Amino acid sequence: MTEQAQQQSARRPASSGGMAWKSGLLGASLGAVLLGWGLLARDNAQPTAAPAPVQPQVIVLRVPVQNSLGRAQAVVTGQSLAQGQRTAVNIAPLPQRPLFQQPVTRTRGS
Amino acid sequence: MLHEHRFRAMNTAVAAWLWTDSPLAGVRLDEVERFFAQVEAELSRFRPQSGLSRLNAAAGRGPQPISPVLAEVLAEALEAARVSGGVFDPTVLNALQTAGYDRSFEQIEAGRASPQRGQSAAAPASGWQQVRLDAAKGTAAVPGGQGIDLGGIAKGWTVDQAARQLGQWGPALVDGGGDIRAAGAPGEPWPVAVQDPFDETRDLAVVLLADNAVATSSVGGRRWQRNGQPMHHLIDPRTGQPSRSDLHTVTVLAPTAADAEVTAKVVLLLGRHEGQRFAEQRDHSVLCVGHDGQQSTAGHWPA
Repeated sequence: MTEQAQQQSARRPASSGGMAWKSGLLGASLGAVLLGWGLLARDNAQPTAAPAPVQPQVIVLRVPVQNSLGRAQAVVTGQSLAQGQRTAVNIAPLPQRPLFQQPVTRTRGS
Repeated sequence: MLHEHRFRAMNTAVAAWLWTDSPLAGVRLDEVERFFAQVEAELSRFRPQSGLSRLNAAAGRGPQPISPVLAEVLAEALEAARVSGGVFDPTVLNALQTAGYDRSFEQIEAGRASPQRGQSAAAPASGWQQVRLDAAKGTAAVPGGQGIDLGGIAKGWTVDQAARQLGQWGPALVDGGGDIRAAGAPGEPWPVAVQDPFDETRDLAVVLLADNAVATSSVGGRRWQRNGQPMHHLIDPRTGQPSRSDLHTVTVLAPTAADAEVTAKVVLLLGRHEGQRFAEQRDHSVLCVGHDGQQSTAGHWPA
């Protein structure tokens, strides 16, 4: 064995111990990063993991024909197409006046 | 916007309404007045030169040429007589004159002297079955001793025709002395009040018209005295006398003003029980008011 070879061989144990330390540090860092990513990914993934079905809402406004006395009633119905559920809410008469505030004419004996 | 035109025709107040933004609204409404004048000139029994007067004057002389308007209204009157079993009878003219309705009611109210015709005792009038109408040839024959009065049904028919004509230009309403017809409605039906026959400041109901009609017959309207006896213009053909039924006023909702006019008169003459049944058979709605003020309804009269 040459002197140079002996010197290299003599340094190996010392070199080998330094690499292990570096590798350990690198692995720990990488693990921390991956753990962080994993945690973040888990938090972010929750809303998109099970997307809720879009349920279109149909609002039906039913306005009955007004009578001459202005007794109009409007009913707003919210209906979910997916569930078929129906809720009715009575609201005040629409702010529109009937065309005729009083009878146009009168029938009388002839 | 709503345009209104009022005038007098057929011895009564007439009004027409047209819902339109057209600048020609006034022209259309003037046409209604002219139409009433033309029909009155042809169908009035108070005008010696009218087609109806000429036909009556030729009673007993066989078929006479008549105008299309007279032919059409006479056909409706004879059909009404048929469906009512003669309770509606256009040949009550002699009975009307005997009762004293021998001039226009405006002249009776003005107290003008009666020509004193028709002093004979009233007799049942049932001559409608002897009237011969040939629409294809444009002729009609009235039997001798008979005369035709188309008063109420002519007014209803004229209201119907005027409303149809006016309805070409927009939602329209025509009121001929209480015979009222709607042609279309301006987004909501036309509200029409039914006058209380015992208190003209009050209304008994409000009906809504779109493409239908309302008419009222009453013994309270055209009344007069004759030989100390109260008389009115609703002659019962079965007796030749003014009606003595239990009904004072009858209002009818029907598809046309002529139909409503006929049914109202027949129900009044028949009386409450039988009359309401007649209205229901024709699928007409009716409000009856008795002499005692008692009200009853039949058909689809709105609650």
